[in-house]
Amino acid sequence: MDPSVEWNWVMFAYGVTYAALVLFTTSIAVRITRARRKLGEGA
Amino acid sequence: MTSPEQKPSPVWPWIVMAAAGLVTFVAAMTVPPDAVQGQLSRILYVHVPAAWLAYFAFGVTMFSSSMYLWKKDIRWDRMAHASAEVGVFFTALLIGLGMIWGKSTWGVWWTWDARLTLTAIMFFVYLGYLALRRTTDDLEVRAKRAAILGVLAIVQVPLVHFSVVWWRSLHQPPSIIKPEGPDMDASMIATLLIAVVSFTVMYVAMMIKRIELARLEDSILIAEQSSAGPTAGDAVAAPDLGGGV
Repeated sequence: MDPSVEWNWVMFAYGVTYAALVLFTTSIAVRITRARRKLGEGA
Repeated sequence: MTSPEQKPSPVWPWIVMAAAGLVTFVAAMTVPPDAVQGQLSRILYVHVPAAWLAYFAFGVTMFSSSMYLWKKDIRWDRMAHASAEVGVFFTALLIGLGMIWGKSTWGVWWTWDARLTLTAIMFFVYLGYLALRRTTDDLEVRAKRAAILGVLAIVQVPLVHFSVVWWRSLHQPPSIIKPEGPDMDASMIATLLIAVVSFTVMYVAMMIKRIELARLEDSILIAEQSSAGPTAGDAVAAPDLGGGV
């Protein structure tokens, strides 16, 4: 396989990894903020 | 005196996670490519740490579930819940990365290989664990049901790990932990070790925030239950069957 094609696959894999990490951690942060607001304590 | 909810939510776990992610990326992009797989071998440095954390997270769920069944302390249940959710995330990531690696090397996104199939089953069982927790609002009943499944479900981890040894598999067998020693270059092993440690640090940081969330969710549930008004059934008096006695 051409090295440039290999790099495309590698960047795709790392893009998926970091996008997933950002989405998951953001979901935790958003749920914490909402829960604190619901408890009336502010974020 | 401030309650735990009034304390500001710590920011440092997010910073630690970002730093660990950066360390993994720099290490994985600077190591020399593999002689056979070329640049594609770099997927190893996120695929293997994701697999390790899936196993580790479900191990923590099993341990915390056992501790809950023994001590009946709701904090163990929160830890089991948090670790199961983080474990499901890393299992999904593991499967996604495996599919990308599979397509680029085997030519297919998916095959019903023992390793792949058992990993998918493990993913759905732990999704079931998270769904089971939503079947009741009773904290103790929820914790007990989840703890029993959390202990039983761990049997899948050795099944998934040793599937490449026990059955003929398209997936490659272990490259590092095997009787004859690792057959990888020292620079690749060092990079993989950096990635595994960095991802483990990310897991710890995620757990700190996810346990904080579990505590807040429980506080909301308790507050809602204690402030709930009378239900429709409360207006119905029980019939007097004793003939006025």
